[in-house]
Amino acid sequence: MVLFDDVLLRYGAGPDILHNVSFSLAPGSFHFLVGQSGAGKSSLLRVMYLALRPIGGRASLFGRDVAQLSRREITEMRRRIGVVFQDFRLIEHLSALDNVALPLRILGQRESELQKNVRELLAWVGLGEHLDALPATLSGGQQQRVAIARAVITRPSLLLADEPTGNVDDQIGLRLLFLFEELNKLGTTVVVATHNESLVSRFHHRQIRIENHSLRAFDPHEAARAQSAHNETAGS
Amino acid sequence: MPRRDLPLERDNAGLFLPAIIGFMVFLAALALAGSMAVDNVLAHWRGAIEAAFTVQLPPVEGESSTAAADRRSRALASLAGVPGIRSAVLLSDTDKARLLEPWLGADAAQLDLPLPDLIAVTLDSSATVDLTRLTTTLQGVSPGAAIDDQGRWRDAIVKGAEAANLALLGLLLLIGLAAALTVVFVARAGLAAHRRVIEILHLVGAHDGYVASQFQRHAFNRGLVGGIVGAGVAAGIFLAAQRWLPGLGSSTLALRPLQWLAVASLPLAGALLAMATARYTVLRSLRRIL
Repeated sequence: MVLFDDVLLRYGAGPDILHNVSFSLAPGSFHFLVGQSGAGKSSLLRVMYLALRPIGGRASLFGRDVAQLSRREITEMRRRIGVVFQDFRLIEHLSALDNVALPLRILGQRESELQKNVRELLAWVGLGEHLDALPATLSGGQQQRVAIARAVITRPSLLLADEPTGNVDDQIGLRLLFLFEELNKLGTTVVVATHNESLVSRFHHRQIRIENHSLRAFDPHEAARAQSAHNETAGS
Repeated sequence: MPRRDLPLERDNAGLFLPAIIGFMVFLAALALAGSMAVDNVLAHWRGAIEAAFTVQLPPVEGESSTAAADRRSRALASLAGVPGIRSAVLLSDTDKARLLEPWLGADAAQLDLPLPDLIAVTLDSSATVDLTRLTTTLQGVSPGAAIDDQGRWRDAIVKGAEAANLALLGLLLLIGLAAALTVVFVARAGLAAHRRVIEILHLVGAHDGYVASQFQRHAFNRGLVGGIVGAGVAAGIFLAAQRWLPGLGSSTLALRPLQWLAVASLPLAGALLAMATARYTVLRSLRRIL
Protein backbone atom coordinates (compact mmCIF):
# COMPACT_ATOMS: atom_id res chain seq x y z
CA MET A 1 0.00 0.00 0.00
CA VAL A 2 2.64 2.53 1.12
CA LEU A 3 6.38 2.10 0.86
CA PHE A 4 8.99 4.70 1.82
CA ASP A 5 12.59 3.80 1.17
CA ASP A 6 15.26 6.23 2.41
CA VAL A 7 13.00 9.16 1.70
CA LEU A 8 14.65 12.55 1.99
CA LEU A 9 12.67 15.78 2.06
CA ARG A 10 13.98 19.31 2.25
CA TYR A 11 12.46 22.71 1.47
CA GLY A 12 14.89 24.60 -0.74
CA ALA A 13 18.30 24.95 0.89
CA GLY A 14 16.87 24.44 4.39
CA PRO A 15 17.55 21.57 6.77
CA ASP A 16 16.23 18.05 6.19
CA ILE A 17 12.54 17.77 7.02
CA LEU A 18 12.57 14.02 6.55
CA HIS A 19 15.86 12.23 6.77
CA ASN A 20 16.24 8.73 5.36
CA VAL A 21 12.75 7.67 6.31
CA SER A 22 11.89 4.07 5.48
CA PHE A 23 8.74 2.16 6.32
CA SER A 24 5.91 0.34 4.67
CA LEU A 25 2.22 -0.02 5.46
CA ALA A 26 0.24 -3.10 4.61
CA PRO A 27 -3.19 -2.75 3.01
CA GLY A 28 -5.91 -2.56 5.67
CA SER A 29 -3.53 -1.63 8.48
CA PHE A 30 -4.09 1.08 11.10
CA HIS A 31 -1.15 3.18 12.28
CA PHE A 32 -0.67 6.10 14.55
CA LEU A 33 2.04 8.51 13.43
CA VAL A 34 3.33 9.97 16.67
CA GLY A 35 5.92 12.52 17.58
CA GLN A 36 6.32 16.02 18.92
CA SER A 37 5.03 19.05 17.08
CA GLY A 38 7.50 20.00 14.35
CA ALA A 39 8.99 16.51 14.20
CA GLY A 40 7.94 16.10 10.56
CA LYS A 41 4.61 14.27 10.85
CA SER A 42 2.71 16.71 8.62
CA SER A 43 5.48 16.72 6.01
CA LEU A 44 5.46 12.93 5.95
CA LEU A 45 1.71 13.00 5.38
CA ARG A 46 2.10 15.63 2.65
CA VAL A 47 4.39 13.30 0.77
CA MET A 48 1.82 10.54 1.27
CA TYR A 49 -1.02 12.63 -0.16
CA LEU A 50 1.18 13.72 -3.03
CA ALA A 51 1.40 17.40 -2.18
CA LEU A 52 5.19 17.11 -1.96
CA ARG A 53 7.73 15.04 -3.83
CA PRO A 54 10.75 13.75 -1.92
CA ILE A 55 14.12 14.97 -3.17
CA GLY A 56 15.76 11.66 -2.40
CA GLY A 57 14.90 8.02 -1.91
CA ARG A 58 11.76 6.36 -3.20
CA ALA A 59 8.16 6.75 -2.12
CA SER A 60 5.52 4.53 -3.62
CA LEU A 61 1.76 4.32 -3.18
CA PHE A 62 -0.51 1.56 -4.38
CA GLY A 63 2.51 -0.05 -5.99
CA ARG A 64 3.48 3.03 -8.01
CA ASP A 65 6.61 5.17 -7.57
CA VAL A 66 5.22 8.67 -6.98
CA ALA A 67 8.12 10.22 -8.90
CA GLN A 68 6.92 8.47 -12.05
CA LEU A 69 3.30 9.57 -11.84
CA SER A 70 1.85 11.86 -14.48
CA ARG A 71 -0.31 14.77 -13.46
CA ARG A 72 -3.46 12.82 -14.33
CA GLU A 73 -2.27 9.76 -12.43
CA ILE A 74 -1.61 11.88 -9.35
CA THR A 75 -5.21 13.07 -9.47
CA GLU A 76 -6.50 9.53 -9.93
CA MET A 77 -4.41 8.40 -6.97
CA ARG A 78 -5.63 11.27 -4.80
CA ARG A 79 -9.16 10.04 -5.40
CA ARG A 80 -8.21 6.90 -3.50
CA ILE A 81 -6.81 8.90 -0.58
CA GLY A 82 -8.87 10.71 2.02
CA VAL A 83 -7.10 13.46 3.91
CA VAL A 84 -8.05 15.25 7.11
CA PHE A 85 -5.94 18.38 7.18
CA GLN A 86 -4.74 19.91 10.39
CA ASP A 87 -6.07 23.28 9.26
CA PHE A 88 -9.25 21.63 7.92
CA ARG A 89 -9.04 23.31 4.49
CA LEU A 90 -12.74 23.75 4.10
CA ILE A 91 -14.05 25.93 1.31
CA GLU A 92 -15.37 29.00 3.05
CA HIS A 93 -18.24 29.89 0.74
CA LEU A 94 -19.64 26.35 0.65
CA SER A 95 -21.97 24.97 3.31
CA ALA A 96 -20.98 22.00 5.48
CA LEU A 97 -23.07 19.78 3.22
CA ASP A 98 -21.45 21.10 0.03
CA ASN A 99 -17.97 20.76 1.50
CA VAL A 100 -18.58 17.12 2.34
CA ALA A 101 -20.30 16.46 -0.99
CA LEU A 102 -17.40 17.98 -2.94
CA PRO A 103 -15.35 14.78 -3.52
CA LEU A 104 -18.47 12.93 -4.66
CA ARG A 105 -19.44 15.71 -7.04
CA ILE A 106 -15.92 15.74 -8.44
CA LEU A 107 -16.29 12.01 -9.03
CA GLY A 108 -19.49 12.77 -10.92
CA GLN A 109 -21.93 11.11 -8.54
CA ARG A 110 -25.57 12.01 -9.08
CA GLU A 111 -27.03 14.61 -6.73
CA SER A 112 -29.92 12.35 -5.70
CA GLU A 113 -27.46 9.65 -4.57
CA LEU A 114 -24.95 11.80 -2.76
CA GLN A 115 -27.41 13.92 -0.76
CA LYS A 116 -28.58 10.97 1.35
CA ASN A 117 -25.04 9.74 2.09
CA VAL A 118 -23.73 13.18 2.95
CA ARG A 119 -26.66 13.99 5.26
CA GLU A 120 -26.29 10.64 7.04
CA LEU A 121 -22.58 11.06 7.56
CA LEU A 122 -22.91 14.64 8.82
CA ALA A 123 -25.60 13.46 11.22
CA TRP A 124 -23.27 10.69 12.39
CA VAL A 125 -20.51 13.16 13.23
CA GLY A 126 -23.05 15.28 15.10
CA LEU A 127 -23.62 17.97 12.52
CA GLY A 128 -27.09 17.02 11.33
CA GLU A 129 -28.37 20.39 12.47
CA HIS A 130 -25.64 22.31 10.67
CA LEU A 131 -25.96 21.07 7.09
CA ASP A 132 -26.29 24.54 5.61
CA ALA A 133 -23.87 26.27 7.92
CA LEU A 134 -20.84 27.99 6.42
CA PRO A 135 -17.49 26.96 7.96
CA ALA A 136 -16.97 30.42 9.46
CA THR A 137 -20.10 29.98 11.58
CA LEU A 138 -18.93 26.62 12.98
CA SER A 139 -16.62 26.06 15.94
CA GLY A 140 -13.14 24.60 15.42
CA GLY A 141 -14.33 21.17 16.48
CA GLN A 142 -17.32 21.31 14.17
CA GLN A 143 -15.12 22.35 11.26
CA GLN A 144 -12.81 19.47 12.04
CA ARG A 145 -15.73 17.04 11.87
CA VAL A 146 -16.79 18.48 8.50
CA ALA A 147 -13.22 17.96 7.31
CA ILE A 148 -13.27 14.37 8.56
CA ALA A 149 -16.63 13.70 6.92
CA ARG A 150 -15.26 15.06 3.63
CA ALA A 151 -12.20 12.81 3.91
CA VAL A 152 -14.17 9.62 4.49
CA ILE A 153 -17.26 10.21 2.33
CA THR A 154 -15.74 8.38 -0.64
CA ARG A 155 -14.58 5.45 1.53
CA PRO A 156 -10.96 5.90 0.42
CA SER A 157 -8.41 3.09 0.24
CA LEU A 158 -6.00 5.18 2.30
CA LEU A 159 -7.04 7.66 4.98
CA LEU A 160 -4.51 10.16 6.27
CA ALA A 161 -5.51 12.29 9.23
CA ASP A 162 -3.33 15.09 10.55
CA GLU A 163 -4.18 15.80 14.21
CA PRO A 164 -7.86 14.95 13.64
CA THR A 165 -8.71 15.22 17.33
CA GLY A 166 -6.79 18.40 18.01
CA ASN A 167 -9.82 20.66 18.31
CA VAL A 168 -12.39 18.36 19.90
CA ASP A 169 -12.94 17.09 23.42
CA ASP A 170 -11.91 13.55 24.32
CA GLN A 171 -15.40 12.15 23.90
CA ILE A 172 -15.76 13.48 20.35
CA GLY A 173 -12.12 12.53 19.66
CA LEU A 174 -12.84 8.93 20.62
CA ARG A 175 -15.98 8.92 18.51
CA LEU A 176 -14.01 10.13 15.49
CA LEU A 177 -11.33 7.51 16.02
CA PHE A 178 -14.04 4.85 16.22
CA LEU A 179 -15.25 6.11 12.85
CA PHE A 180 -11.73 5.61 11.49
CA GLU A 181 -11.69 2.09 12.99
CA GLU A 182 -14.97 1.29 11.28
CA LEU A 183 -13.52 2.41 7.99
CA ASN A 184 -10.40 0.38 8.71
CA LYS A 185 -12.54 -2.72 9.26
CA LEU A 186 -14.04 -2.11 5.80
CA GLY A 187 -10.52 -2.27 4.32
CA THR A 188 -9.27 1.31 4.46
CA THR A 189 -5.63 1.73 5.46
CA VAL A 190 -5.53 4.43 8.14
CA VAL A 191 -2.71 6.68 9.29
CA VAL A 192 -3.51 9.09 12.11
CA ALA A 193 -0.87 11.67 12.95
CA THR A 194 -1.17 12.95 16.50
CA HIS A 195 0.87 14.14 19.43
CA ASN A 196 -1.90 13.09 21.86
CA GLU A 197 -0.25 9.93 23.15
CA SER A 198 -2.85 9.41 25.88
CA LEU A 199 -5.48 9.00 23.20
CA VAL A 200 -3.18 6.70 21.21
CA SER A 201 -2.64 4.50 24.26
CA ARG A 202 -6.37 3.71 24.38
CA PHE A 203 -6.10 1.87 21.07
CA HIS A 204 -4.02 -1.13 20.18
CA HIS A 205 -2.73 -0.05 16.81
CA ARG A 206 0.85 0.06 15.60
CA GLN A 207 2.79 3.28 15.90
CA ILE A 208 5.24 5.01 13.66
CA ARG A 209 7.30 7.30 15.83
CA ILE A 210 9.06 10.23 14.23
CA GLU A 211 11.66 12.24 16.10
CA ASN A 212 13.94 14.90 14.74
CA HIS A 213 12.76 14.18 11.21
CA SER A 214 13.66 10.49 11.29
CA LEU A 215 11.85 7.32 12.25
CA ARG A 216 13.01 6.16 15.65
CA ALA A 217 10.99 3.06 16.23
CA PHE A 218 9.34 0.71 13.84
CA ASP A 219 8.66 -2.98 14.19
CA PRO A 220 11.02 -4.63 11.66
CA HIS A 221 8.91 -7.82 11.55
CA GLU A 222 5.87 -5.76 10.73
CA ALA A 223 7.89 -3.94 8.07
CA ALA A 224 8.93 -7.21 6.50
CA ARG A 225 5.34 -8.48 6.43
CA ALA A 226 4.15 -5.18 4.97
CA GLN A 227 6.92 -5.23 2.38
CA SER A 228 5.80 -8.67 1.29
CA ALA A 229 2.17 -7.53 1.08
CA HIS A 230 3.26 -4.44 -0.83
CA ASN A 231 5.14 -6.51 -3.36
CA GLU A 232 2.03 -8.60 -3.87
CA THR A 233 -0.04 -5.45 -4.44
CA ALA A 234 2.50 -4.08 -6.90
CA GLY A 235 2.69 -7.37 -8.72
CA SER A 236 -1.09 -7.77 -9.04
CA MET B 1 -26.84 22.00 -12.27
CA PRO B 2 -23.30 23.21 -13.07
CA ARG B 3 -21.03 23.32 -10.05
CA ARG B 4 -19.64 26.59 -8.80
CA ASP B 5 -17.04 25.62 -6.26
CA LEU B 6 -15.05 28.72 -7.14
CA PRO B 7 -16.78 32.04 -6.34
CA LEU B 8 -15.59 33.64 -9.58
CA GLU B 9 -18.62 35.91 -9.79
CA ARG B 10 -17.28 37.82 -6.77
CA ASP B 11 -13.90 38.61 -8.33
CA ASN B 12 -13.23 42.29 -8.91
CA ALA B 13 -11.40 41.57 -12.15
CA GLY B 14 -14.29 39.39 -13.32
CA LEU B 15 -16.76 42.22 -12.84
CA PHE B 16 -15.18 44.06 -15.78
CA LEU B 17 -15.28 41.07 -18.08
CA PRO B 18 -18.82 41.62 -19.45
CA ALA B 19 -18.11 45.32 -19.98
CA ILE B 20 -14.85 44.69 -21.80
CA ILE B 21 -16.18 41.84 -23.94
CA GLY B 22 -19.29 43.93 -24.59
CA PHE B 23 -17.16 46.86 -25.77
CA MET B 24 -15.08 44.58 -28.00
CA VAL B 25 -18.19 43.04 -29.53
CA PHE B 26 -19.63 46.55 -29.96
CA LEU B 27 -16.54 47.61 -31.94
CA ALA B 28 -16.51 44.38 -33.93
CA ALA B 29 -20.21 44.68 -34.73
CA LEU B 30 -19.82 48.26 -35.94
CA ALA B 31 -16.79 47.33 -38.03
CA LEU B 32 -18.48 44.27 -39.49
CA ALA B 33 -21.77 46.03 -40.22
CA GLY B 34 -19.96 49.01 -41.73
CA SER B 35 -17.78 46.80 -43.88
CA MET B 36 -20.71 44.77 -45.11
CA ALA B 37 -22.61 47.95 -45.93
CA VAL B 38 -19.65 49.29 -47.92
CA ASP B 39 -19.38 45.89 -49.59
CA ASN B 40 -23.02 46.16 -50.60
CA VAL B 41 -22.43 49.59 -52.17
CA LEU B 42 -19.35 48.36 -54.00
CA ALA B 43 -21.24 45.32 -55.24
CA HIS B 44 -23.99 47.62 -56.49
CA TRP B 45 -21.53 49.87 -58.33
CA ARG B 46 -19.67 46.91 -59.68
CA GLY B 47 -22.90 45.41 -60.99
CA ALA B 48 -23.80 48.67 -62.67
CA ILE B 49 -20.37 48.88 -64.34
CA GLU B 50 -20.41 45.27 -65.43
CA ALA B 51 -23.86 45.66 -66.92
CA ALA B 52 -22.76 48.40 -69.34
CA PHE B 53 -20.03 49.24 -71.82
CA THR B 54 -19.31 51.84 -74.47
CA VAL B 55 -18.56 51.28 -78.15
CA GLN B 56 -16.32 53.82 -79.85
CA LEU B 57 -16.53 54.22 -83.61
CA PRO B 58 -13.64 56.42 -84.80
CA PRO B 59 -14.35 58.75 -87.74
CA VAL B 60 -13.21 57.54 -91.16
CA GLU B 61 -11.24 60.12 -93.05
CA GLY B 62 -12.93 61.41 -96.17
CA GLU B 63 -16.16 59.58 -95.45
CA SER B 64 -19.38 61.30 -96.44
CA SER B 65 -22.01 62.03 -93.80
CA THR B 66 -24.38 59.55 -95.52
CA ALA B 67 -21.77 56.79 -95.44
CA ALA B 68 -20.98 57.63 -91.80
CA ALA B 69 -24.66 57.42 -90.86
CA ASP B 70 -24.92 54.11 -92.71
CA ARG B 71 -21.84 52.79 -90.81
CA ARG B 72 -23.37 53.81 -87.44
CA SER B 73 -26.66 52.12 -88.37
CA ARG B 74 -24.87 48.89 -89.26
CA ALA B 75 -22.94 48.98 -85.97
CA LEU B 76 -26.19 49.50 -84.02
CA ALA B 77 -27.79 46.65 -85.98
CA SER B 78 -24.83 44.38 -85.12
CA LEU B 79 -25.26 45.17 -81.44
CA ALA B 80 -29.02 44.69 -81.53
CA GLY B 81 -28.55 41.12 -82.74
CA VAL B 82 -26.36 40.08 -79.79
CA PRO B 83 -28.17 38.07 -77.08
CA GLY B 84 -28.00 39.71 -73.62
CA ILE B 85 -27.80 43.30 -74.89
CA ARG B 86 -30.79 45.17 -73.57
CA SER B 87 -30.19 48.49 -75.37
CA ALA B 88 -27.65 50.25 -77.59
CA VAL B 89 -28.05 54.03 -77.86
CA LEU B 90 -25.97 56.31 -80.04
CA LEU B 91 -24.91 59.38 -78.06
CA SER B 92 -25.83 62.72 -79.62
CA ASP B 93 -23.28 65.49 -80.19
CA THR B 94 -24.75 67.31 -77.20
CA ASP B 95 -24.22 64.23 -74.97
CA LYS B 96 -20.62 63.91 -76.19
CA ALA B 97 -20.01 67.62 -75.56
CA ARG B 98 -21.31 67.15 -71.99
CA LEU B 99 -18.86 64.30 -71.48
CA LEU B 100 -15.98 66.47 -72.72
CA GLU B 101 -17.02 69.54 -70.81
CA PRO B 102 -14.84 68.85 -67.74
CA TRP B 103 -11.74 68.85 -69.98
CA LEU B 104 -12.60 71.23 -72.86
CA GLY B 105 -15.03 73.62 -71.20
CA ALA B 106 -18.57 74.70 -72.03
CA ASP B 107 -17.66 75.44 -75.68
CA ALA B 108 -16.73 71.84 -76.44
CA ALA B 109 -19.73 71.44 -78.74
CA GLN B 110 -18.56 74.34 -80.90
CA LEU B 111 -15.08 72.94 -81.45
CA ASP B 112 -14.57 71.18 -84.72
CA LEU B 113 -12.90 68.05 -83.42
CA PRO B 114 -12.87 64.63 -85.04
CA LEU B 115 -14.68 62.96 -82.19
CA PRO B 116 -15.57 59.25 -82.38
CA ASP B 117 -19.19 58.17 -82.31
CA LEU B 118 -20.13 56.63 -78.96
CA ILE B 119 -22.75 53.94 -78.41
CA ALA B 120 -23.86 53.33 -74.79
CA VAL B 121 -24.73 49.65 -74.40
CA THR B 122 -26.58 48.18 -71.41
CA LEU B 123 -26.86 44.46 -70.72
CA ASP B 124 -29.48 42.32 -69.13
CA SER B 125 -28.56 41.95 -65.44
CA SER B 126 -27.25 38.38 -65.65
CA ALA B 127 -26.01 38.46 -69.23
CA THR B 128 -22.40 37.94 -70.28
CA VAL B 129 -21.19 38.99 -73.67
CA ASP B 130 -18.01 37.89 -75.44
CA LEU B 131 -16.50 41.35 -75.90
CA THR B 132 -13.53 40.17 -77.97
CA ARG B 133 -15.77 38.53 -80.51
CA LEU B 134 -18.12 41.54 -80.52
CA THR B 135 -15.17 43.88 -81.13
CA THR B 136 -14.14 41.82 -84.18
CA THR B 137 -17.69 41.92 -85.50
CA LEU B 138 -17.90 45.70 -84.98
CA GLN B 139 -14.54 46.28 -86.63
CA GLY B 140 -15.90 44.46 -89.68
CA VAL B 141 -18.63 47.09 -89.84
CA SER B 142 -16.70 50.15 -88.68
CA PRO B 143 -12.88 50.13 -88.96
CA GLY B 144 -11.11 50.84 -85.71
CA ALA B 145 -14.19 50.17 -83.56
CA ALA B 146 -13.33 49.58 -79.89
CA ILE B 147 -15.15 48.60 -76.73
CA ASP B 148 -14.52 50.27 -73.37
CA ASP B 149 -15.86 48.01 -70.60
CA GLN B 150 -14.70 50.35 -67.78
CA GLY B 151 -12.27 47.66 -66.62
CA ARG B 152 -10.10 50.30 -65.05
CA TRP B 153 -12.90 51.40 -62.73
CA ARG B 154 -14.01 47.87 -62.03
CA ASP B 155 -10.48 46.86 -61.03
CA ALA B 156 -10.20 49.87 -58.74
CA ILE B 157 -13.48 48.95 -57.07
CA VAL B 158 -12.44 45.32 -56.65
CA LYS B 159 -9.11 46.38 -55.17
CA GLY B 160 -10.88 48.84 -52.89
CA ALA B 161 -13.28 46.17 -51.70
CA GLU B 162 -10.43 43.73 -51.12
CA ALA B 163 -8.45 46.31 -49.16
CA ALA B 164 -11.52 47.18 -47.07
CA ASN B 165 -12.15 43.51 -46.31
CA LEU B 166 -8.50 42.98 -45.42
CA ALA B 167 -8.59 45.98 -43.10
CA LEU B 168 -11.74 44.60 -41.50
CA LEU B 169 -10.11 41.22 -40.98
CA GLY B 170 -7.11 42.91 -39.35
CA LEU B 171 -9.39 45.00 -37.16
CA LEU B 172 -11.42 41.98 -36.08
CA LEU B 173 -8.21 40.08 -35.29
CA LEU B 174 -6.96 42.98 -33.17
CA ILE B 175 -10.29 43.21 -31.36
CA GLY B 176 -10.25 39.44 -30.80
CA LEU B 177 -6.67 39.60 -29.54
CA ALA B 178 -7.51 42.42 -27.14
CA ALA B 179 -10.52 40.48 -25.86
CA ALA B 180 -8.43 37.32 -25.44
CA LEU B 181 -5.73 39.20 -23.53
CA THR B 182 -8.39 40.61 -21.23
CA VAL B 183 -9.72 37.12 -20.54
CA VAL B 184 -6.15 35.88 -19.88
CA PHE B 185 -5.71 38.66 -17.32
CA VAL B 186 -9.06 37.93 -15.66
CA ALA B 187 -8.40 34.18 -15.58
CA ARG B 188 -4.95 34.66 -14.06
CA ALA B 189 -6.35 37.06 -11.48
CA GLY B 190 -9.01 34.45 -10.68
CA LEU B 191 -6.40 31.73 -10.33
CA ALA B 192 -4.38 33.87 -7.96
CA ALA B 193 -7.44 34.89 -5.94
CA HIS B 194 -8.71 31.33 -5.58
CA ARG B 195 -5.43 29.49 -5.34
CA ARG B 196 -6.34 28.04 -1.94
CA VAL B 197 -9.68 26.66 -3.12
CA ILE B 198 -8.09 25.29 -6.29
CA GLU B 199 -5.48 23.54 -4.17
CA ILE B 200 -8.23 21.99 -2.06
CA LEU B 201 -10.08 20.89 -5.20
CA HIS B 202 -6.90 19.23 -6.44
CA LEU B 203 -6.28 17.53 -3.12
CA VAL B 204 -9.77 16.04 -3.04
CA GLY B 205 -9.32 14.65 -6.53
CA ALA B 206 -10.32 17.32 -9.05
CA HIS B 207 -8.66 17.15 -12.45
CA ASP B 208 -7.41 20.36 -14.03
CA GLY B 209 -10.35 20.10 -16.43
CA TYR B 210 -12.80 20.30 -13.51
CA VAL B 211 -11.25 23.56 -12.37
CA ALA B 212 -10.91 24.90 -15.91
CA SER B 213 -14.56 24.10 -16.67
CA GLN B 214 -15.66 26.51 -13.94
CA PHE B 215 -13.48 29.30 -15.33
CA GLN B 216 -14.59 28.66 -18.90
CA ARG B 217 -18.29 28.59 -17.96
CA HIS B 218 -17.89 31.84 -16.06
CA ALA B 219 -16.07 33.47 -19.00
CA PHE B 220 -18.69 32.22 -21.47
CA ASN B 221 -21.66 33.46 -19.44
CA ARG B 222 -20.11 36.83 -18.73
CA GLY B 223 -18.86 37.20 -22.29
CA LEU B 224 -22.27 36.32 -23.74
CA VAL B 225 -24.11 38.85 -21.59
CA GLY B 226 -21.59 41.59 -22.43
CA GLY B 227 -21.56 40.59 -26.10
CA ILE B 228 -25.35 40.72 -26.45
CA VAL B 229 -25.43 44.21 -24.97
CA GLY B 230 -22.50 45.34 -27.13
CA ALA B 231 -23.95 43.95 -30.36
CA GLY B 232 -27.39 45.35 -29.49
CA VAL B 233 -26.01 48.84 -28.96
CA ALA B 234 -23.99 48.62 -32.20
CA ALA B 235 -27.06 47.45 -34.15
CA GLY B 236 -29.10 50.30 -32.67
CA ILE B 237 -26.47 52.86 -33.67
CA PHE B 238 -26.21 51.39 -37.18
CA LEU B 239 -29.99 51.42 -37.66
CA ALA B 240 -30.23 54.96 -36.30
CA ALA B 241 -27.46 56.08 -38.65
CA GLN B 242 -29.24 54.47 -41.58
CA ARG B 243 -32.42 56.27 -40.63
CA TRP B 244 -31.05 59.70 -39.77
CA LEU B 245 -27.95 60.20 -41.90
CA PRO B 246 -28.65 61.11 -45.54
CA GLY B 247 -27.43 58.52 -48.00
CA LEU B 248 -26.96 55.75 -45.45
CA GLY B 249 -30.60 54.78 -45.67
CA SER B 250 -30.33 53.75 -49.30
CA SER B 251 -31.18 50.18 -50.09
CA THR B 252 -27.63 49.54 -51.33
CA LEU B 253 -26.23 50.23 -47.84
CA ALA B 254 -28.88 48.35 -45.88
CA LEU B 255 -27.78 44.97 -44.54
CA ARG B 256 -29.41 41.82 -45.81
CA PRO B 257 -30.88 39.27 -43.36
CA LEU B 258 -27.81 37.02 -43.57
CA GLN B 259 -25.56 39.98 -42.87
CA TRP B 260 -27.62 40.85 -39.79
CA LEU B 261 -27.26 37.23 -38.76
CA ALA B 262 -23.46 37.61 -38.97
CA VAL B 263 -23.65 40.67 -36.68
CA ALA B 264 -26.00 38.81 -34.34
CA SER B 265 -23.55 35.89 -34.11
CA LEU B 266 -20.77 38.14 -32.75
CA PRO B 267 -21.85 37.84 -29.07
CA LEU B 268 -21.68 34.06 -29.36
CA ALA B 269 -18.31 34.29 -31.10
CA GLY B 270 -17.06 36.61 -28.36
CA ALA B 271 -18.34 34.29 -25.63
CA LEU B 272 -16.75 31.25 -27.29
CA LEU B 273 -13.46 33.11 -27.64
CA ALA B 274 -13.61 34.05 -23.94
CA MET B 275 -14.43 30.47 -22.99
CA ALA B 276 -11.62 28.94 -25.05
CA THR B 277 -9.10 31.51 -23.82
CA ALA B 278 -10.07 30.99 -20.19
CA ARG B 279 -9.78 27.21 -20.52
CA TYR B 280 -6.40 27.40 -22.24
CA THR B 281 -5.05 29.91 -19.70
CA VAL B 282 -6.23 27.93 -16.69
CA LEU B 283 -5.01 24.56 -17.96
CA ARG B 284 -1.65 26.04 -18.86
CA SER B 285 -1.29 27.77 -15.49
CA LEU B 286 -2.40 24.75 -13.48
CA ARG B 287 0.28 22.57 -15.05
CA ARG B 288 2.82 24.59 -13.10
CA ILE B 289 1.18 23.59 -9.80
CA LEU B 290 1.95 20.17 -8.31
